[in-house]
Amino acid sequence: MQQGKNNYKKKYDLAIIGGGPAGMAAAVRAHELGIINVLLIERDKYLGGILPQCIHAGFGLKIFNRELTGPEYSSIFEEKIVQSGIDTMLDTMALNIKSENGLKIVTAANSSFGYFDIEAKSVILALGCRERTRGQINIPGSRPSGVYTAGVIQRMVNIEGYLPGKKVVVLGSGDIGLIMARRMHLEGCAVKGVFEINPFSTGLLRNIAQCLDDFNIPLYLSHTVTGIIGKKRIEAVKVSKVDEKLKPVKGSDRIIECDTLLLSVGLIPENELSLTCGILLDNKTLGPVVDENCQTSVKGIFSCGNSLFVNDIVDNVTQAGQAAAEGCLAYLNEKPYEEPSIEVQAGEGILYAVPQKISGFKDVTFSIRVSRPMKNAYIAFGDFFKKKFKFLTPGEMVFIKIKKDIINGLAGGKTRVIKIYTGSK
Amino acid sequence: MKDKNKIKIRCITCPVGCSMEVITDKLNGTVLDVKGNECAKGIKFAKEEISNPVRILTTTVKIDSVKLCRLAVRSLEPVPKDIVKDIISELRKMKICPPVKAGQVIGQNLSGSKSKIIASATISQ
Ligand SMILES: Cc1cc2nc3c(=O)[nH]c(=O)nc-3n(C[C@H](O)[C@H](O)[C@H](O)COP(=O)(O)OP(=O)(O)OC[C@H]3O[C@@H](n4cnc5c(N)ncnc54)[C@H](O)[C@@H]3O)c2cc1C
Ligand code: SF4
Repeated sequence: MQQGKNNYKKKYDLAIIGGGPAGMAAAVRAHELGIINVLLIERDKYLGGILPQCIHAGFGLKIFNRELTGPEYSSIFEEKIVQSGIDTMLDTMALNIKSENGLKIVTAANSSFGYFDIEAKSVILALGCRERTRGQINIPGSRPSGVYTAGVIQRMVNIEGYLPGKKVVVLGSGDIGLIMARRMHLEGCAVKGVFEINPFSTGLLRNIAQCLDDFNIPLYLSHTVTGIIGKKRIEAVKVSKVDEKLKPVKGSDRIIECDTLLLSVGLIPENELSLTCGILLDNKTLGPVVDENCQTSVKGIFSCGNSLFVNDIVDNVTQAGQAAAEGCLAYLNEKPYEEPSIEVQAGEGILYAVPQKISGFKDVTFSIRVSRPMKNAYIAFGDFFKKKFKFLTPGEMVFIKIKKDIINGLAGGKTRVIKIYTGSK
Repeated sequence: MKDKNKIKIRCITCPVGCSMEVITDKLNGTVLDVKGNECAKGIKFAKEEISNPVRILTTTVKIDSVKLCRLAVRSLEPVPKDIVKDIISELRKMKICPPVKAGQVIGQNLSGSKSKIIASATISQ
């Protein structure tokens, strides 16, 4: 975790907002590509985004072929940033972006300079994501303390060094919920169980094995928290079974005593800053609509990482940051830009597919998330490209590369639309 | 099948997470057959999991730094599953002073484990 520079220039070729794995990868790649005048802005005291608090091993298998911890993964990129001398501003929050005559004016604030403006030819947004809270999933009951999101507890325990409670109920069985269940158990808490509203867990099977089964922590599928009990501090939760429509089954509820409810009920891409300059968002990913160069609807502004869509593994986030830097280079070099006139549509069984718009002049790797688990299924592009899968699940993103000739074959007609959908054999 | 045991385990080596069936000899516990693994690493994992299950250990220790109060640490190699909690208890008693570099050894032979415990992060002051 390194100290940032406090001196800065007023003009940059590229301003990167967010110093997590996406922003760091974009900065390093931009430097490698010869974009010299780069500024990296991070609101926290250190680089790394959420990695420094993810102390478990499980990062980097794809890129480094080793199982690194979050801090280890992060430090590889932090070191590269220091070595390449990229201007870095920590403790600095970007507040607003304006696009004026092709230039971007980024308004930021920190304790050394107060409010100030930076002029950049291009911007990469690498803002990460936010956690869904109790309000967003509507749990009825009183409003005592002791209800936290997973990321908040992870920061308390792993960075700030204190435990929020002793008896924990976990709601949500994605990887973050599973990893935090193990962490709390190892810190000496009684983890009463992990409750999952769906009939399946979206977490990796290996995490169910090594986070829950290893410690006999029970997993209750098709269950949810239907009430919170307690005045000042949470004293118990009411849990109920749910039916196929995910509605609580009458008479199935029971009370579980606890002093902490850990919510791991989903992430939402962070895009408040993107909205300040009118970037168009996709109502499924909740991140910007982008083309194959990661460019948003505002020319010269690019998006990557968890602020584009929520990723499962950090290696993909790193690659996305690199791709954004490459897209940015083409923009800065004023290469003739091919309009992304082909629209990509998510059909049956597909939650979303990114990029949402493409030009047809390049091969494209699509990031696709299916909407439910499927066995022996295929993902199809229009009428004549199909890829088969033994198993598909919303917990694991699928990447499919499509050659430009196929793209043009698919979107050859007047419609200029490619529909992606699933089916079974 | 009288002299054989059938055990279900999950390979945790990679994100595929294969569900495997392991046939062992009832008398000496040796692995006779593994089914359901997608690759050879599954067999290695099954043998280890039956004879001596190991896990990578990660936790934090106290650090006396101006900026931070916890240092993330890990076991360099996986350690026996049943001593994970003992090692964590020993680490809980420790206090480290900066500077610390990622990879630096923090503890050795804790609870009889052969693996070193190393720092996961660099904290310079
Ligand atoms: C508990 C948990 C466990 C995980 N486990 C694994 C795992 O085992 N393996 C794996 O591969 N992946 C895992 N992941 C996923 C991986 O860590 C993320 O996909 C990755 O960190 C996302 O990177 P990012 O750069 O997009 O976002 P972040 O890491 O969130 O970084 C975004 C950064 O932008 C900054 N920022 C935002 N807005 C502004 C602003 N306006 N001005 C300045 N700065 C701003 C934030 O402060 C933050 O530092 C896990 C995630 C969590 C939460
Ligand atoms: S058997 Fe191979 S593919 Fe299956 S989980 Fe183990 S390492 Fe992964």
